Amino acid sequence: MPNLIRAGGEMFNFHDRPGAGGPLLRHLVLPLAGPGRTVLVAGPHPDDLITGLVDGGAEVTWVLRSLADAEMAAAAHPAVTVVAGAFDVVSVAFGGVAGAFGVASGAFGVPSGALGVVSGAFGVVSGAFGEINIASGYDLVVAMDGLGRLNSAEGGLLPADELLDRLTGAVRSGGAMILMHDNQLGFHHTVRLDPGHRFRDDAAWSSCEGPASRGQLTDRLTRAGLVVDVAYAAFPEPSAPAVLIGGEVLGDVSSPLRPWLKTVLAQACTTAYRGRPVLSDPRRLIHRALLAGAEDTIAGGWLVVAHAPGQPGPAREWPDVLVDDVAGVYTLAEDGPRAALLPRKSPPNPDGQPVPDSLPVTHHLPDADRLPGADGLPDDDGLPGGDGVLDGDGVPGGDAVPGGEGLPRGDGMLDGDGVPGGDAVPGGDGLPRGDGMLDGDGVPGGDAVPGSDAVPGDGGMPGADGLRRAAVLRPTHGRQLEELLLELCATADVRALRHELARYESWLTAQATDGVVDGPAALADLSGIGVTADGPALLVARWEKAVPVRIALVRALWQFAVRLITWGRPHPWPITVSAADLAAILVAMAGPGLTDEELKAAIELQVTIDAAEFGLGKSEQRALRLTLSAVRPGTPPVDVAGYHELTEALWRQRYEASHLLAMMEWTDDVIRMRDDQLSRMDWELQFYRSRLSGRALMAAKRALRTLRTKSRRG
Amino acid sequence: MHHANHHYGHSHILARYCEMPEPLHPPRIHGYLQHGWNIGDGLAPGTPYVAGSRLLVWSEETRRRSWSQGRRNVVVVGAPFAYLVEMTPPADEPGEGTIFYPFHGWEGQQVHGDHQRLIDEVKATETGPITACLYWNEYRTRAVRALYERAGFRVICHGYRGFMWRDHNRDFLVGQLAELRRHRRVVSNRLCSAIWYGLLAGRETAVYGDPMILDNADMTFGGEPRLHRQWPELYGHTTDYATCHRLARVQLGADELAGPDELRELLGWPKREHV
Repeated sequence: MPNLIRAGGEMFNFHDRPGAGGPLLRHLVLPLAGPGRTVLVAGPHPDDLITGLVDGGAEVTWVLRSLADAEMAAAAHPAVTVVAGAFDVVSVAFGGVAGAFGVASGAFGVPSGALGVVSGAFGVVSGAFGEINIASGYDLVVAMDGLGRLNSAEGGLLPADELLDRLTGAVRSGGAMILMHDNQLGFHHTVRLDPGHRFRDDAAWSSCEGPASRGQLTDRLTRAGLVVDVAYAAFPEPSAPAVLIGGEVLGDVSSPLRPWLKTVLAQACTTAYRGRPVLSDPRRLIHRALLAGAEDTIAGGWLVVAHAPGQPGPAREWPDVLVDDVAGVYTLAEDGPRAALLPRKSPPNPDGQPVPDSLPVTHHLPDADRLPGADGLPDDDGLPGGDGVLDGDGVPGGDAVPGGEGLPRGDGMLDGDGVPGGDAVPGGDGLPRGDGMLDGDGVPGGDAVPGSDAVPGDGGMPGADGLRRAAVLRPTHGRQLEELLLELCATADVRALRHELARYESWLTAQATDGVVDGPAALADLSGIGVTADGPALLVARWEKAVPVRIALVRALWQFAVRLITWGRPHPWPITVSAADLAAILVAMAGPGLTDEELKAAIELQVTIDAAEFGLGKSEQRALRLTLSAVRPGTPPVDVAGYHELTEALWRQRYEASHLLAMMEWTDDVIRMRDDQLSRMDWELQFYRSRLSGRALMAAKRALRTLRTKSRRG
Repeated sequence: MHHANHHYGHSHILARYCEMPEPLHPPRIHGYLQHGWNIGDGLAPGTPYVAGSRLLVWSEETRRRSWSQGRRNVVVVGAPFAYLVEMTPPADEPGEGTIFYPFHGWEGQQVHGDHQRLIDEVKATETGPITACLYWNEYRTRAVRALYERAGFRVICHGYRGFMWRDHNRDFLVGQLAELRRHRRVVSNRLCSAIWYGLLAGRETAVYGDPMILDNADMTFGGEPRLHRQWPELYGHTTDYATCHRLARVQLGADELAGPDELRELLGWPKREHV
């Protein structure tokens, strides 16, 4: 392969799984490249990113430590120069800003001749099949996979600082670098429940931690001579970021975007963690961090874009918040419209064939009034944003990924540390989902439900189940209704709860025509509803469908009941109450009581939504239906099973078991007591019957009965 | 169902409120319904309690106290009397005279005190006709009843609250509400349920006189001295109605009442469609 250079230190019989990707990163990286620009991609990255770079006219050099991966990459991308080897051998140094770095020569076990050598001191990598001059540096250095997979088992281990130096040193004057760096204090490490993962991970022969905070990272890059353009906190995981927060929004608890951030972050976590065992539900941790303005500290990683002084390309604006979900990549300003920066494309079918955009999107324009103003009044408007349509994320299913083992992204591939690759699934909002209900989407890894029988219809038409994609996102100065209700539940403020529920019921009813809600409000979770001075307002909705207003109400309240129970949240109702009974209480607080049929319809509706959201097959739907119908104290969260939550569930089960035992004893006692009483009364009866008056009474009774019988016969 | 749930016709009132088809035969309440105002955890002292059972208390304050005492499955439903008031049209007449509730014991605890001195003080304080409402066991004690009769009081009894599922006066509270509304003032020598009921029924109240002594009184929660200290507004020959009424609403959970369908769920009763 003429485009493969074996630089030395490459690893044999070893694969790295694909690196960080997704539309969000493509959106950030591709505009930094462009025709004629030279790009160095360091470490594993997804194919579609490389393709995007090449298609954009960039000259791409891709460094991989695995020889097999490099061979596959070279075959898949003939226009890309693929360098196989250890980064300490390959990397170069360049005069750049960081000064000169030595370049490896044939050390580290690279036989000259046969495999090629790294010759020369400054920047010429020569291998068996070619030679590349990297001494002049690159217009763009892409290290979205971080520093962890640059060292080779065959080469020397460079410390993180030195790896950073080499990366920064590869940026030529006026060039740019985009780097993702894992946060070791990140919540994704904190919640990991994967004992022994390090010993099972073939790549965990060493660790490479580097800067421990966003500040340290930017300082380090600045010291290396780069100018930092933007530094984002990335969520949920550096390997598959779906939300980037930076600028003034980061840590600003008074930002009107904050309620919405709670929703999208929970959503992103639900998507990433559904079905993965964790120590504790990450959404709760993130929610608390957002309340404290500490999201930077626990972010999954930090994404930095920096440039070397010189003649940089055209200035680019960096939004404070970037999100990748079913709506594609977009941002949202406090007072401005949402902009769909990168519409979502359909993912391919498992057979590799693209599917048509199958998730029709209804775009909701703002109501145009009630903008959040300087007066602090809430705003629920504002989003012009026909952003478009989306589904899939365009990321291939992962099968063509070099070195991959056929595992589609978003499916459970491991990160550097053995944790599945962060992707797949449902949606949360505002708060931890943990209940199996979701609104999520996200589908970062490219597993957007293609081909599922549960996927709603194509072409903007509702599917057989009547579901349509909705993309509603509105910032507000208010709070999330769910958050407010959780708080009221925790303080046992039943009066205020009744008030809020009645308000919500009135609002929902007002959305209905002839008793049917046909719009995003119908399927919005309580976490997608904002509480403003003017009453409830829709913040986020992911699906819509024409639904009887009662069923819409019941579904939302039942879902809230499920969350209360499965999250182990305090509430003022019986501790032993099931989700169905709790839903009945909540519904009755908002209006007329709940019927079994309504509850059944609401659960069915939830199953329909989840099926569409996650592409559940029939058997999975059946299992979900059973699970959701049987939620009671002791039921752990349905989607993300945290050890903490499982322990909570166990405690509740024990509570209930001990109550049942005590009740059994009491029932025995009562039966015994009633038997005694019955026996005493029987004795009294016998006693009275044995007296003359008693005998006379009984004789009269028999006579009466005889007379009655005779009269009936004839 | 715990037999105390039938006391004073509580379960029957709730069944009527919930529009149960047979309110005279209410279904089993799943849990222990607080059957009298108290300053403890909602359960009467010594009530045998099945661990983990639902405790249905009158007020949020009691719920919190109950939690602090180790109870966990505690739910505020409001006092049955408050539901009765909700269901009963308000009285047209302002009422006349005073109804006096001498502090009473119960089957297991007698009270000791000087009834005559109490009678003298009430007579000296109250204007208009006076009704003395005795607890059933004192009403049946001829000597005690005679004391009040001799003083010119009209002597009544709301009836027997029942015991072990038998002999309940299902209309206990109905009769009590009617009597309360018949009078202008409600007086007792100790802060008790009747005073709170009187306030909720829209009557002036006062607590004064010898509070008497209860056999083996349980002082765990502070006993009578605490009542005086915690609710001084109710003590004295005259009180401020608005203030006391507000307190009564809190103690009886009058602002926490559940709707019929909601209450059915809280009591563990079947939904409408199932009965």
